[in-house]
Amino acid sequence: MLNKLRATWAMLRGQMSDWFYSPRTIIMGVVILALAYINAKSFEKVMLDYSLTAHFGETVYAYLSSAFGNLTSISAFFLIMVSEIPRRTPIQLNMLIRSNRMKWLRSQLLFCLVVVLLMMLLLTTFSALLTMPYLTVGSGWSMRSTNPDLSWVPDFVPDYIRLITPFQANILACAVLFAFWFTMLLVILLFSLAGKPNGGLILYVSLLMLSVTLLWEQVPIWIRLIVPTNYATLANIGIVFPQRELSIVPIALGVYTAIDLLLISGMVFIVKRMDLHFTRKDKA
Amino acid sequence: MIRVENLSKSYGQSSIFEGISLTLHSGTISGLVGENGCGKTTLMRCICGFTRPSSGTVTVLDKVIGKDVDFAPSTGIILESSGFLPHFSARKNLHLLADISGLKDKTRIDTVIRLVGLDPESKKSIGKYSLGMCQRLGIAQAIMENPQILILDEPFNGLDKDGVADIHKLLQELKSQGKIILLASHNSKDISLACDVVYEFRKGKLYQLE
Repeated sequence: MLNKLRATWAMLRGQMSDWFYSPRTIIMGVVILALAYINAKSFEKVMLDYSLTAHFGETVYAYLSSAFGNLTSISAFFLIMVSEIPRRTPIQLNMLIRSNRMKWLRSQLLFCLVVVLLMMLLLTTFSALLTMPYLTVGSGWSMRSTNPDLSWVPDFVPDYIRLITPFQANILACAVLFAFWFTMLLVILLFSLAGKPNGGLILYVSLLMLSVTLLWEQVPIWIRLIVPTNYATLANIGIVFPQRELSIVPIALGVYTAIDLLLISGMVFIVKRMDLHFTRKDKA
Repeated sequence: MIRVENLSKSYGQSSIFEGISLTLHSGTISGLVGENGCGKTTLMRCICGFTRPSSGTVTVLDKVIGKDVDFAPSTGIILESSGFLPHFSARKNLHLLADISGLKDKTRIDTVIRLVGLDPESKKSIGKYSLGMCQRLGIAQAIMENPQILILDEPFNGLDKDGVADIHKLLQELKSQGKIILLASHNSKDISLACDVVYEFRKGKLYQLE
């Protein structure tokens, strides 16, 4: 058992370090953090302009429930950052000969999982640190204006979310965003294993851009309802299903799980049969 | 023993090779020669299990590749490139691979690094290694688990005269230990010096040279 864990950990480490040191990862990482910085600063401006109070848990919720204020851009840059799964490096062959196809696939799936968790952790920590200077001490929901002249300011946190604690709301927001990004990486991986490495990237960038490029209101409601970005964040679910998000979230998570299982089954089928090429050179 | 029976591989309409049969025995060094793109690497990849043949079977140490096992058991490889993480040191790279294979005796790593003429204590990252040094480390990587089989594609690439001589000597030593060794090179001189049996690829067919 310990040996199996050590082997999986070693394969993951090999993948992660290769990914981590890639210039694309570093550049995209800086761009994503810059976007998170801009978002945190605009959030701070709203807080100060409207004299809003905010506890730590609430600000984390505000970020997580909105994919750090910029779902389209952050997801698109994240996509570019991780678009090369599996990593096309010759060490893959040296790892493979010491393993087997299914263990290798497991390490790819684990890579997707860890990268999404790392991304969420990094963005949450970074954004939360930027909000520290204007936080008020306390727990529970506050985030209402302390200035009586600004009573018209809409609440940042919807009433139906206030029914649960900020901690619970954060767990839900985390789960939804994680499910969206994890499924996104699985789609990239599936296309890549099927020999179409750019297919997943093109599909997801198109999905992310749909609501920006189309006159969204003109699109039939049933199409709008099946676009995955509507289920990418808790805030988006709230927009499509106002006041019903708490009941929609479990359904959305269930659908994500079913899709993920389907994608993984597809990968198992492909990996058992595919030729394993990791560099342009070793295709000869 | 490695037994290749009636092996064919094609990509779409383009056939790489057809109906290849070959048996490799313990204690022999066999060589593959042929022009670039003739199918040497593809054959090696089929033996390892990385490439699925269009038809035919490969049996390695009594295990049918793709049926009994995914990849050739007890096999050390260099395929096309020595394949390491460029920002890790030699020792760190081999430790990572040893963790995957479950190699318990980690002192073996330092021994094989020394055996190929490199310094196991060196903190230098692989990215700063010359091609010859990478190739030497590739050989250390291939032999570190003391496998029964070695499949080495262009093992003399980038090596200077002394390097080539060192690797020749090492291969003869491994042969005397009863290993099955398969080499491929576009340089037929390197191969004829090292090998007991040489096969040449010509128009998708394999011929044994006298």
